[in-house]
Amino acid sequence: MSMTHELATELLAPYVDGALPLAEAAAVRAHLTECAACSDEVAGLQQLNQALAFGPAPPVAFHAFWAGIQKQLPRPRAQARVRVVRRSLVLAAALAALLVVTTAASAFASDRILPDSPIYSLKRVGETVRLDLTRTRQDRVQLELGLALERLHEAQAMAVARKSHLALASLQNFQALLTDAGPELENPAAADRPEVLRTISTLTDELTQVEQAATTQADESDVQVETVVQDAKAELAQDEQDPGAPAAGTQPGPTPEPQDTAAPKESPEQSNVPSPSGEPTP
Amino acid sequence: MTPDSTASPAPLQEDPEERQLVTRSAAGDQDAFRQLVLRHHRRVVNIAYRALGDAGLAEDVAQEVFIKVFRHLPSYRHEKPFVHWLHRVAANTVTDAARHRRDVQSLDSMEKPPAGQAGDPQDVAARHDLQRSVRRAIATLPPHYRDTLALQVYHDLSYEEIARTLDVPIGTVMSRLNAAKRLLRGRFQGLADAEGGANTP
Repeated sequence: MSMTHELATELLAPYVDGALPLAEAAAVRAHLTECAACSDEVAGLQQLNQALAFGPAPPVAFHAFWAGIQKQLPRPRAQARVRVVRRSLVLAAALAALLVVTTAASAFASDRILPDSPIYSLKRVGETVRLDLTRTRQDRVQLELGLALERLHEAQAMAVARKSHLALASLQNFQALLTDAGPELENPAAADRPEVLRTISTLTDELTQVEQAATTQADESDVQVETVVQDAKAELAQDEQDPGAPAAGTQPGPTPEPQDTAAPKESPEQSNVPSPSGEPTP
Repeated sequence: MTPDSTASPAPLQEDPEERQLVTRSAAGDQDAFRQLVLRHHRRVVNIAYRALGDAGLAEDVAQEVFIKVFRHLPSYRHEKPFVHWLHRVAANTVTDAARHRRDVQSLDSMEKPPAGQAGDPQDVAARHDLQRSVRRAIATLPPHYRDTLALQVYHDLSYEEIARTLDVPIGTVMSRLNAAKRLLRGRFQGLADAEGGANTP
């Protein structure tokens, strides 16, 4: 294809930067052989690129860099923890009601003693002993969260094995553990432990996976799951807007979406995050 | 004449591990966020350093970027790879820092180039001055051109990556960079001459 001078002048910078598709680059190259003005411009652009070659920064000491950031991060709020626990309870109710099958690999850890094992009752007795041995409320809560995660894995494994009554039993214990642990998580001494945060993080991840697996299955019963999940989200979203309000029943109607506003609520900075820094006009 | 390739590719895809880190960080998990910062801190410091020319300031601004990211993560809709959003936050923060700095500094301020640079000290100083002039010239461009050029030159993004970061067609990126560089050549030459000495090789 032959290229007009007008068009070529629009493409010289991407040409020099190597960003043109092959055919167009070839056409520009051909044009350059017969256009002194464009050839000069290309030389000028190459020179400019050299001036624009800013080098990288000197090495960064990460430990100090992170320390500077960490100092300014908000203290983890106990509210967030309580929210996660409540969400867990609501989703567990959905699972219990519908016994959704998931394929979480972690549920099938080879050394896990499952509810259909002959020695499962021993496992539970061992846990009861450990719970009784915890000295402080915070230790107890930490253990309860770990056990709740274990119950979730058991429930998933039993659901896959189609042993629904055992799945249900594990889920009921899951709910009981979280109900017990929930209120204590408002206490920062319990809530701010790395172990607790990690377990809650894991719980959140796995419940999100369950939620996703549930809403992508193409089964009639999952319309119900989706409804329960949406209702739960609606309830929690309402909670987020008005943390002081008592827990309402499930809300009908559209789910409020999480805010994705450009203007942050709390900070007075000038810059507009996360909107793009320029309008999409050429 | 053969085309030059100036941009080095940054990863466009997002691996599942990073997605997890973002989700956990949004939930307030500071251990997860630390891992996210570890992955991207050099990237952001480099952006700030190229735009501002001072290593200490670059680290301060980079820290600010991550603090902002953490604060806004809960409302971030994770529809595209996290790194694109990170570049936008970095671009906004760095532009603000540069503007503030220009307001505070006089034109004659003597910024020393960082110690330990290889090469003849006079060459190093000349290069440093040249790049300071270039930065000033870039700052005078109209915002669309300036911001698009910044993504190529300070953020080291390819045309494709710029298009994704700004959410515009690649043709738009091409025409903006073409116009920006044409303008820049004129303004830069003017500024360099005004500062009393042509720095072009």
